[in-house]
Amino acid sequence: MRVVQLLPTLSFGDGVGNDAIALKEIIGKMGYSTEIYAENIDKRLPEGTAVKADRLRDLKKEDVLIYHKSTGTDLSFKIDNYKCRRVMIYHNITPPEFFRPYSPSAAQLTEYGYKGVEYLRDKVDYVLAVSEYNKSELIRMGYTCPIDISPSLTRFEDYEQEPDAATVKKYSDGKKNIIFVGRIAPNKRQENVIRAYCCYRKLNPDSRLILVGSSSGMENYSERLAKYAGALGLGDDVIFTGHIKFSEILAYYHTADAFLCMSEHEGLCVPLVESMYFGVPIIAYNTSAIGETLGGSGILLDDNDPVFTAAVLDRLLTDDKLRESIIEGQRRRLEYFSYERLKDIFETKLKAFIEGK
Amino acid sequence: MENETINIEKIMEEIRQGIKEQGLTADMLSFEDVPYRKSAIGGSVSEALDYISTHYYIQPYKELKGNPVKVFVKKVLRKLMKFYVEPAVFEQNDFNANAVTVIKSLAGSKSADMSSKVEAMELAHKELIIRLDKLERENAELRRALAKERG
Repeated sequence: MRVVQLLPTLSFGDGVGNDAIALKEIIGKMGYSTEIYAENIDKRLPEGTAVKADRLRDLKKEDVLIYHKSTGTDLSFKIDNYKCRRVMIYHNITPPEFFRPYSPSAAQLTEYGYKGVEYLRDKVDYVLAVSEYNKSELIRMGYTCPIDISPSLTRFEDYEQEPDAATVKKYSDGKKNIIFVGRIAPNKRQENVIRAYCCYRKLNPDSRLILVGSSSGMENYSERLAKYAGALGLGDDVIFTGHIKFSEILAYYHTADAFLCMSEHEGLCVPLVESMYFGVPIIAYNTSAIGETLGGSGILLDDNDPVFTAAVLDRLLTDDKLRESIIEGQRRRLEYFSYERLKDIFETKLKAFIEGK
Repeated sequence: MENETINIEKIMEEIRQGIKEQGLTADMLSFEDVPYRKSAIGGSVSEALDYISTHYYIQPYKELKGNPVKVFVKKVLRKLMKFYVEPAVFEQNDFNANAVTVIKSLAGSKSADMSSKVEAMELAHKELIIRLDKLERENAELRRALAKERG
């Protein structure tokens, strides 16, 4: 029996791609014949990681096709051509409204993504959503098939690699480093991170804000953010890293004093899990799947008021007892995302679906 | 926000109280005040510049389509209109060519740089007005408090 995965693009170092690769290993160990099929395969991936999607043929009725849904693609409208059992892993799609002012193409792509999700409503037999938030979104969209939660797999051993020494050295100068990690995108509301930092800087000028993430495709938004930081007089204290190497991302986590997240839309916020791993205390605005990801750890804010956020940040960075307690809470929460635990969840759910339980 | 060893709710309350006592406010420039390049459906400004640079010359005659009778009628009409259409189109082409030259030179010259400087100064001006407002409010409050003390 075959259990295969299908996705439009298998990228190197991307969350969905990493998840598919990890699941391939798990499915193989479960004893099924498996493969990843993708329309586009990143050339940096090792040979044999995936096969071109047009070679996906001869699926039998009892075989299982796992389709990863995270973007707008024609593939969503062809899934019902595969006459087998169909499972969708829903990673979430950012609402197009966020992109409309800055990138019509991104808005169109995500709009098409939602059309695909709607189309698949009665074409899949089972869904694994990466968060409760994603599950409720699908239910709102009229999904009636069984939906379970199976968060994306994160390999913590990847974080044990050496961080970039030059970056560590550069930012270990005694200044408080406030970071946010995530691509520069309007749904992540980096402007509200800047606003909060602007208020915090009045309380502690010996600090900096580092926005770690690529701005590719969102240049207009990124430019506006940089102008905003400049106009607020924050100048060199707000750093936009742009696209950087993995070892540099690790370095920013290593040198961070706090992680500040004001994002308004996340299907599952992996950087929060990463912060938990690196023992960086988190302050986050409670929206979408943020609260669910934190699971009671970190400091969750009910509104995005910059003055209050700054005051909380100041307290967190000056009150050792509070900081240690937050980090300890995050460490406990991290166990929920352990590879072994999430692997067991996936195996159990997939097995139950295959055996028709 | 439950925690075994510390009471986060209590800490949050203390922080709120501290903000109130210190009179901290978020007087700052709004993100909405910051202008940005809006992406037109057709693409970026540089794409639009490329387009006008290559499409400014308009042909007065278009390919005639339809069945042979229709094409014949259209040809007759075209001949009859030639005296009016041709000079107008050539005049428009002259204007377009000059306009493109000016637009390209403006885009390539220091004026683009100047406009971004003006934009930055306008933002700084807005930010200063916000700060000034805040200082004036604080000043008035202090004067009132001082007058109360004296009186």
